[in-house]
Amino acid sequence: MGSADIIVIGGGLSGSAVALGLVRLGAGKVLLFDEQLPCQRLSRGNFGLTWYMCKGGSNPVYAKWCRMATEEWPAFAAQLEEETGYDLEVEWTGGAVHAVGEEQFVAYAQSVESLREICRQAGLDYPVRMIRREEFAEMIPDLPIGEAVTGFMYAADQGHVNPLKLLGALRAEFQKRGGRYFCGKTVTAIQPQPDGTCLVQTGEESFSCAKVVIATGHGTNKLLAPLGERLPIYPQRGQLLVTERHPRLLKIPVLAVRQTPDGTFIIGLSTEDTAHDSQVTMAAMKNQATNAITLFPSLARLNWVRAWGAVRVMTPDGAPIYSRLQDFPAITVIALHSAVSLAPLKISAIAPWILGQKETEQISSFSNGRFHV
Amino acid sequence: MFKENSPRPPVPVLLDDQAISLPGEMSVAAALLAKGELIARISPASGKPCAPHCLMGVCHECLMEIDGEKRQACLTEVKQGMVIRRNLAKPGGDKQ
Repeated sequence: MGSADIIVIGGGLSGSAVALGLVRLGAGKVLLFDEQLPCQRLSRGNFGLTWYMCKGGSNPVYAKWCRMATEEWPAFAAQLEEETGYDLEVEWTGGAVHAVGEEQFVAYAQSVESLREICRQAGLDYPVRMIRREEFAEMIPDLPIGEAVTGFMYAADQGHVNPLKLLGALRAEFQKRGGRYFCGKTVTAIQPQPDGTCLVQTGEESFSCAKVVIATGHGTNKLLAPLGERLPIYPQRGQLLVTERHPRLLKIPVLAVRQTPDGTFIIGLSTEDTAHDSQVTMAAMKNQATNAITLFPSLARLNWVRAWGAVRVMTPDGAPIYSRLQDFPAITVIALHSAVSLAPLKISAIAPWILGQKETEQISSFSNGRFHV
Repeated sequence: MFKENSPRPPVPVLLDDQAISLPGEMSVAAALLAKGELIARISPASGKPCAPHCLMGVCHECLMEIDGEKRQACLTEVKQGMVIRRNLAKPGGDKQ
């Protein structure tokens, strides 16, 4: 039988970030189990925005949480790059959402004011503004904006990143600091023991450990069912298209289109209710391509080279779940979308909370208990 | 067994403004390689030369301007009078 201080189940962005946070805090022997299911690759299907804009409309604490994460991003990335030598391709050039037609511009303006008011009540500013197309055109002089675009919702202090490099760097530093990463390891059961520890079964082996972190996305409820807990998470598919590489034209990411530093345009803004089916569809790709070309007509001349789908982990109020199981406090479960944007907080807030070192005041608002009214 | 048993008919084309002939009945990428033209374009990412890599339509390393459109040379058959521009002076091979 193996043993560890903490076992993190789930090697995606959130699991890897928590695992790194734990070893940075000297949590002892930490193991990271990654099942690498082909159907659950959402950390590899990500668009790569580091964003707070539009988030938290139905949950002011979540708005605050997103702002905290975005504020931490530049320093978080700098440290991770220094520790690993990875270039995360972070660009802190702001971010925008385009509006087509006057009606949508006005609706976006109203949504900005409404979120500003929600943030104000929570003691938070909301530095997002509506700008007309002419002003944004001056910010991206190399890429003409489509005629139908009336303006943009814009925030200066956010950006984008290469999510694959982020995932690689999190795991690299985790291992460099002595954490052990196992790929292709499937956990079949978590068995709480009378002394408060847990046994983690993987089929061939069992591991004894003091604490368990479950970060297994849509695989979570299968592990939680025998423990009497259930998360109200649901799947939502997003599809992305990428173009051939092109000399750099767009340095400010737009929600529907961003260009990476190596020249690829990534296009995507789809949300579909398709259970766990991660296939791409002609209809969604057409729709997204049309939307992208409405925004930037010259994209029509580029070759589309690849497309993929990935299934988000959604919660009823859009905010993450960070929860210690009531009956088994050695077990913590985390489940969320926006794992890229929220990655820094896994290290600065969630890892110390799991270790019982400090509890950031927002965390209690994100327990699974909030859904059991 | 991989030796060519009959030479392909030569097809006149314009390559980077030079009149040349390429072997016909094959893709532009293969024909250029047969003539010893290894460089397909300049990478817009690194500014370095690229050569066809997969030759089966996946890698997009052989993108070049063919008859005014940026196309994958490995998926385009050589045709008489084709105008092929690799725009080797410019990263991305873009004509603008």
